[in-house]
Amino acid sequence: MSKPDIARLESIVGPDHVKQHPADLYVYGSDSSVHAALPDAVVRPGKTEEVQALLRYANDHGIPVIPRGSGSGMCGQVVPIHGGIVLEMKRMNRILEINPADVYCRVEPGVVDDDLNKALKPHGVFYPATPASSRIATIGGEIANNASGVRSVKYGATRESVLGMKVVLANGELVTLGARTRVEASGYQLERLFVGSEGTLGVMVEATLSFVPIPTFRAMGMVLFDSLNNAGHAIGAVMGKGVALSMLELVDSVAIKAVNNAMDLGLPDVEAILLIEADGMVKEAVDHELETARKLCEGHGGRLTQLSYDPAERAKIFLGRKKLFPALSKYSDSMVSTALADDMAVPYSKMAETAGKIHEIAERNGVVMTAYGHCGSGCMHTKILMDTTKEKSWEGARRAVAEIYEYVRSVGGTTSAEHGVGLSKAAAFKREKADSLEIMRAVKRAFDPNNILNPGKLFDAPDDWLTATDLRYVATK
Amino acid sequence: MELERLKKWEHQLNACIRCGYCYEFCPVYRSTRWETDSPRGKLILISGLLHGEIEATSETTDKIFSCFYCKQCEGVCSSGIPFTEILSDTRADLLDLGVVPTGTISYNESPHCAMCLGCVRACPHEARVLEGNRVVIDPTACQSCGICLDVCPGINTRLGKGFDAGPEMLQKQAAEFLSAPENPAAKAIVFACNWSNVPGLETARLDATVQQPDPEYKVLVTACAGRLPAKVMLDALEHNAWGVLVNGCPEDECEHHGSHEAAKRVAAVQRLLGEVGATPRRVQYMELSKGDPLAFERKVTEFMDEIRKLGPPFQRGDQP
Repeated sequence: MSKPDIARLESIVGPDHVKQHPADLYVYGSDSSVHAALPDAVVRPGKTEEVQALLRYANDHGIPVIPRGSGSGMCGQVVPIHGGIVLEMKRMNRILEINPADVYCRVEPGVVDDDLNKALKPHGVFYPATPASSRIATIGGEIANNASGVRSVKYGATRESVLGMKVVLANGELVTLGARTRVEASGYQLERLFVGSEGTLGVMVEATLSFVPIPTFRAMGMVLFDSLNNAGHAIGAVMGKGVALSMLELVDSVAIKAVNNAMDLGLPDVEAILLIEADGMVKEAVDHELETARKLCEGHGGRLTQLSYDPAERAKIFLGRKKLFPALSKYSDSMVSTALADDMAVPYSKMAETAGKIHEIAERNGVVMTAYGHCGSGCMHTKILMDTTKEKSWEGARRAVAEIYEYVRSVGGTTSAEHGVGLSKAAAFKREKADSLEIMRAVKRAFDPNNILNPGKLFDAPDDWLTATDLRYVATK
Repeated sequence: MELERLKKWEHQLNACIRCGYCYEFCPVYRSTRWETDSPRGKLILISGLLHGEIEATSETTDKIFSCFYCKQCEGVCSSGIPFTEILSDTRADLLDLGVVPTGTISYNESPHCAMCLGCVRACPHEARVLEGNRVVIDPTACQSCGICLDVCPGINTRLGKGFDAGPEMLQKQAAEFLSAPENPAAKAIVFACNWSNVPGLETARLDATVQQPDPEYKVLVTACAGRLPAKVMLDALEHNAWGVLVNGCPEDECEHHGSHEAAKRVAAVQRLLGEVGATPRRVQYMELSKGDPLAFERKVTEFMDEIRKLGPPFQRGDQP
């Protein structure tokens, strides 16, 4: 792969928006994952024409281009494994249009999710595919990873909210995909293909998104379980009965301990908590869904507490879940939280077994793992907690990652529910999609024949995540 | 390279999960929008220094010495990373290696000094000390609060980089907002202290991302209310501001004794306005505790209501 000519990059975006100092390259070589690799330059385009010019230049010279939002991804999607240009898209952060009558908005990729929702709020609507990291996550990054979040159980993942987009292809050509309508049946829906493509097919410069009305009533409660297994079965029962919850979150005892250590929230000392929420325009309908959920949970030993319609009370109940991920490093003074085996999805009927498997695999391999996540949408999160300074921890982590993903595959689950694949989940992804990898490679070649867009990711990522790049941690024997 | 003090922080550096929730709260990041200037970016750099993966070049160490110690990042960090403690130890280690501090650290522009020792007495962090016959600055103690700026009769004390939070930059930004033809409704400037209640998200991102049609006021972040000179407030009025609101911390919460200075300065400006026949309440001071953006919004709304009633400057009762 070639190195970029810095003067040429500066001529395109201006010298204030190009960095090549080792300090900047070191920082932009990381994200929230365990991985690290150095780019050759960091460039911040401010408009579509600059993105086009940058890609034309990179394509002509075979230089990798890695589109990046806030760098909050956990699988190494934006770690420049082959060097090249990190394309930081946060300067393109304008909300171009909010059209309540036609139920869509148009935004640039660098708009932060929370900012979009603040702008939508006066119109009485919200963008629902919001991940827990909405405070910093950009719409571009969310689309690239098909992000979802706590309310996806009712409103779907990012893909369900994307109506169309403008994309700059590897050769610099600008194309418009999709439409501004709720439905579309005109040929291949390429805009949907770009959702979840992790920056490997093109650089999105504008997205058309749908939104939904803010419900008049919203109530949330906690269901306490003395058995993680029972909590897992309760999830299956609630979803299997078609209860229309707007949130169904699992928090296990490891996560409860970490949150209490970090924030002293006084979460109950139980094996598992389910957070349940329902919303709607009619209070009786919300009550009905929550009452149905309560009965089903009680059938599995759950006890509903703190049910509330009050926004402040709901915020308090939800705070522990919102801060769970960063709080995990407070589980123990000798361990830190690593973004490994961080998400997966399994069929509802396997939720209980999966939660148990996670802890069983962790114990066998000398690490600690959590089980939590948006289980109402089938999503199970975990993290590996370990002493990252010891080599043997990493060997244990390597085995644990392999075992949990093999289990997930065996029960018909999938490698990633919402965090993407990047580098750290590539091996499991390749096993899961073995018979469609060639089609994916052909699609990639059609869009990016010179393989400049985020190369070395997804199906092209190395099989062993542990040696794929340098790690952000330093371990010794 | 030996970084003795840093070694004890390795666990904390690893415990940072790099979620990035900190950086929109950082005035340095908000100024440059480069992740290298964010708390997360600095922790990544410090980790790199500790592990010998990057060198302590002047460009790198400049980042380490660029921080206003507002600790907003620590307030939002659920991983509980003691960012400023780690930063201070990194600075001390780098100084031991002979690094020349730059960044936001305070300095004296000229070696010629009247030796009034006003800055030594004013510094709340004991960063300015008398050594022999000169005032020296301890870069590990300096928190770049800027309290020393306005006390020097010789205008000799300086901070390094201002990152849009220095007085000159605030004055310029206020004038630009008030004079821009695209802001016909511009009426007021709110100088918000970064230490207290600046609602990070509201001021950090919405200005840039959400188009507010015909904005009436602009929130400008000052590193500490106590470092906002009277001339910056007066300059906003000279650029036809209908009013100026200065926000600081409650006195017992201010880490830099800045609230007292700010209140005194606003009172002086109010007296001046009264003397020239203008309404003193065109310039107001308010104190708010950390972490209450709704109260901030409420106070600003009340101020704007009052200013609108007063009308444009030097009209409706104001004498030219």
